[in-house]
Amino acid sequence: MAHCERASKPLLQCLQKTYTKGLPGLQLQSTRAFQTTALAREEVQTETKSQPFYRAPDPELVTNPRLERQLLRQGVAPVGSRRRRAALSDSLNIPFEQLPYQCFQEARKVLLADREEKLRDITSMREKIARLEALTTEQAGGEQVKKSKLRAMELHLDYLKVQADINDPLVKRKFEDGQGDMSKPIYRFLADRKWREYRRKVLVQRITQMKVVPDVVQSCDPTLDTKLYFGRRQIQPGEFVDSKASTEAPKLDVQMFEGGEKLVTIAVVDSDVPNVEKDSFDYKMHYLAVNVPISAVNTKVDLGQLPTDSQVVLPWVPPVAQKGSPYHRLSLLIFEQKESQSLDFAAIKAKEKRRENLHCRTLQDRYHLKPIGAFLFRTQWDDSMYEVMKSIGYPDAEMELRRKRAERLPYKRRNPANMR
Amino acid sequence: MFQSRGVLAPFRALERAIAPSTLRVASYSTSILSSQRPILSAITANSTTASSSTTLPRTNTTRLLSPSTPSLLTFLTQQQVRHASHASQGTANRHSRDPAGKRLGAKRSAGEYVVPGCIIFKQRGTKWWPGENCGMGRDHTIYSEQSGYVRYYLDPERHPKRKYIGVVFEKDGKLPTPRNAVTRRKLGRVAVRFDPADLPNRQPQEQPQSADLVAEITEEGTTVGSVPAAAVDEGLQFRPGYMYREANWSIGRIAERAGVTADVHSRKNRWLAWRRRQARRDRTAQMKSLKRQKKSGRKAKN
Amino acid sequence: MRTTLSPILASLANVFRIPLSQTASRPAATAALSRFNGSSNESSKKSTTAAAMSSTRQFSTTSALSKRKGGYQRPDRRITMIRYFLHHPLTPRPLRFSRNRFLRHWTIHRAWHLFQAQQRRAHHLELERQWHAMRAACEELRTGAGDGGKLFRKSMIKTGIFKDLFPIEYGRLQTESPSSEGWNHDWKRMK
Repeated sequence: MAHCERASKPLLQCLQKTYTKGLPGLQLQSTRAFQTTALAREEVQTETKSQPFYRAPDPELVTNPRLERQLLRQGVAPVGSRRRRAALSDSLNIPFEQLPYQCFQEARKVLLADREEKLRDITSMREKIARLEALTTEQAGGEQVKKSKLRAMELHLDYLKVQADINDPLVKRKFEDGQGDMSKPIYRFLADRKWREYRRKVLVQRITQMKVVPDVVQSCDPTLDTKLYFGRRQIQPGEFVDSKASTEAPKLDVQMFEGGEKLVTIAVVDSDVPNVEKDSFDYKMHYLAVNVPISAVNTKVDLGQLPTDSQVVLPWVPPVAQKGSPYHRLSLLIFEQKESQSLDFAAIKAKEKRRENLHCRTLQDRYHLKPIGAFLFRTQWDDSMYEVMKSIGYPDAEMELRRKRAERLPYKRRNPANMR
Repeated sequence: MFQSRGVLAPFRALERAIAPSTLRVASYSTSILSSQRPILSAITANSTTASSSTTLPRTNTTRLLSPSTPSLLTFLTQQQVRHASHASQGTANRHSRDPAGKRLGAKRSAGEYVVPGCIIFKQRGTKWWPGENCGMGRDHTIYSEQSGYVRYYLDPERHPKRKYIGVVFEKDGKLPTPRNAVTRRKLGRVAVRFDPADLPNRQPQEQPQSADLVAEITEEGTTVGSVPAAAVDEGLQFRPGYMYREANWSIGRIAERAGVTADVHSRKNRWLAWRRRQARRDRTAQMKSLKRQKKSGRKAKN
Repeated sequence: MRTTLSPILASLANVFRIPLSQTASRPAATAALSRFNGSSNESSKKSTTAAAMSSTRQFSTTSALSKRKGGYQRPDRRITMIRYFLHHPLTPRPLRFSRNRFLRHWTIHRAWHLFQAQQRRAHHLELERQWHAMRAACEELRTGAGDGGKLFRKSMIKTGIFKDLFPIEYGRLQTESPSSEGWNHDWKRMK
């Protein structure tokens, strides 16, 4: 499919150009209600069309070797093979929506009629909501009733918004090309569906198999697509991360699938700090930031670049694993703050000073947090770990953990009388 | 149809074989064969008409006719062959089908103290599943992975029907633990100081040293660690196994140091292969002949 | 050892080049088998050997292992079945479209499903409307007829409906609408 997408992208663009240029009457009929990009493209088109082709050759259509060389000298590589470019320049350039196939056109009519109906539903639902909001609580029948009614209506409105566009082939194409606008509910819906098909399943499997869920938080139902980068390298959930790579704080790509903005708390916890005296494991908070704003369009969060005076409570500490210790799970958790209200940063900063044994469950109880996203990577002893330990002044850098020999079972002498 | 033919066939043969000798037999021993006489006479009488009498007692006939007609004897014994399926009925107690017990079942009961690797349950298939701090072997044997006390339990939250075997750390610990409770683990390690100079990337200019495993017995227990091996130039070293010798890896490199090079083996060079094979055969033949000489020499001495 | 072998399975095995381990214990069965396969065997042998030469690699990762153990082993039966059904002429071929064509196909597919859903919904609504209308009429009969609901009660008595005769409308298959050609006036009873 990737090849197809790449191959047809220029074709589509090319088609759209001629479409906007040549058939203004038809454009009126089928312009999307919220697509504003066509106009801008038209302007660009008019500018470039004033020159002849050999002056400004299009890298997607150029077939002449001399023009190609000229383009290359300018630093623009022609797109695709010459054969393909020739085919593109020879094609009829009919826009996708006007392709002369009878069944397709009939299908489009059905879909457009359905869309019109859905749009009417949306407007009527909006009016209903406005009417209900205008009512006082007594008229609506109580606080709870009004609230639940509004909630149901808004859910239905979202559903209608998605349904209005879900049958549009151009929306599908745009989403597959990765050009979907996440501020629109349809693209969020498609992205969510795609995430749940595979990536979320992998994530949930990793965090349950590696016991993040009972060890760090009680339960977690991820609704955010989280990607983690150390430097430029993307980390898969549960991957072992080189100690040198993890000295710097990671970057996050948090994709929300709901509209609006949310304030979240981000915590990175190591749940496998060995404790030799107790013969068990401790917790350590490697990073804690509160009041981090995320939304569907604002997805990038660089943990190292967050403002330290208003968000970062505990700055990043590189994860370390002593020589011989079992691997350390570093779980990154994204908590939703209650009703997206900001927490009191100064109070938290004053209170949460100790990193050791600061449990996520405690934080959840104190600040009413709810986990909505999780991620996991692991650390173990590697060649550069000792240097990392030295550079951060880790006290037990020169201590190695060795397996304790298990005591044997006491020798039980069989009863000789029985044996005889 | 089928039956009559099957019954008839032996009689035809019988008839052919007996014809010259029956009369003689009858005349020899009339007193012994008094009971058989009417039947025999019936046979002789029927021989011409070839009609069958089905009531011939076959065993008696064989006994009667055995000395005189060997061909008939073999024929009749063929008729009486016993197949393998019938032979197995012979043994009364069926020892061959009753194998020894496999000593399956619980090896440690609930509440018993176990150490890592201790076998708790032997089974065929998964009658029991490994729970907390337990593992399952290749033949579904349940063994403990931590030292503690054995628990046999059900965990409906995990699986509605499976029975589990687990190990808890305390004598009065309980299983199953709640689903959302923090897992209880033990570190099971001791902290030992190590020399950072041994780390591989600390001194990259140094040659990577080979190491030998040595066991160190202290009060806490035995720890197994590695010590750096001595350099090759220093001669023979005292090695594990109580001998002064070179390290194994350096023995393996003797040829390399001596500059011995072997020809690259080519599969297509059948001429060389044939010569080698021939040489090997010659050598074997020589050795064999030497052995034979030795043996014969010894025999001659004796 | 395969002692019982249905002729269908045997012919399948012949088609998919599964060697049969025929034993001499049942010469009659093998003879029958060979007679059964005989005609197709000779004709297909040449073509199958050519195909086998090209496809020496099985769809399996264990081929090397089986080779090492020595001797030819029968390919996995599941693979045989998959191959059978994949290449069966009744199996529809996979849709391999260019992107635009796929999108067109998808559009038509969605529209068709949408249309069907709309029809289903309309039909459902119509049934609902009819039901409510009948209910309202009955209610009217019960309360508005002025006879204290006697007529309604009489009409609601359902006893004896199926006793003497079977209702004629159940004599044929019930359809949504009359047939397209209506009444066949030329029909005559057969003699």
